[in-house]
Amino acid sequence: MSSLWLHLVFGLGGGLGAAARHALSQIFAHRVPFSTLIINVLGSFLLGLWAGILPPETAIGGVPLQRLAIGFCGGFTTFSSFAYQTLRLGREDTLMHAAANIVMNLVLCLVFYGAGLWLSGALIL
Amino acid sequence: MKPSPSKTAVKSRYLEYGAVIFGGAAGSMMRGVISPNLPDIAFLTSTFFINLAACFVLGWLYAARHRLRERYMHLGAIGFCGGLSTFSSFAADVFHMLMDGAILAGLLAPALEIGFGIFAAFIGEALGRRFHGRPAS
Repeated sequence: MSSLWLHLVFGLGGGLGAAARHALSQIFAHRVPFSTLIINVLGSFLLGLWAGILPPETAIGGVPLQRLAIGFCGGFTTFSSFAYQTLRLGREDTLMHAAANIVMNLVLCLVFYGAGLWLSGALIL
Repeated sequence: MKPSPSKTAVKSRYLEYGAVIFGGAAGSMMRGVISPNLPDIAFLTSTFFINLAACFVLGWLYAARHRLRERYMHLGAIGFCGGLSTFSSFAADVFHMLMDGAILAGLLAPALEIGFGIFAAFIGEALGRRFHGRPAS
């Protein structure tokens, strides 16, 4: 596959990820930062999981499938909404809640990324 | 019997998701194209700079929200900025720094990324307010 196609496949994954995020965020619409937390944790877990599950680059469908899956995780998770919501939490709520939002996102995403890697066999402890 | 949603409502739903998908695809592709061409400065990866740019744009868009149709927020804020920025790659970068024993980098990178990310959103919002009047609610 040419690199243009690979970019398009990556973009397709990102578009689908963004749609999934938008759909999920409407389920938890009453607690906005909470939905972003769930989405980021889930996306980090998936990215870790793909590492062991996706076929190697030499296999049929290897590289395009990898681009699609990684594109999905990148489009699904969001750093910009996280940062903006933290800013507003700090301003309109309490600094404590903003700090809690940061710690929860960071720690849970790291833990779940590691769990995904471990579950898929890409991380041996 | 539950009334079926009107045709206009269904069409508007399609357009809403269409805008999110299109914006998300554009943002993701932009990241995919830019990312390999950006240098890693010490422990700050290309994701760092792209995330900061997305935070800035998102802050600006939210400040200008009262001037924009909802559709453009779906396209730009939820789609494009969400697709351009990524939390999963960021978490992966930090995780591997920590696992490789680069503890200082693994602590500094998230501190800088989150700190500057919030700051970029703040600056974007302030500039948006400056140029588009009424403060964001």
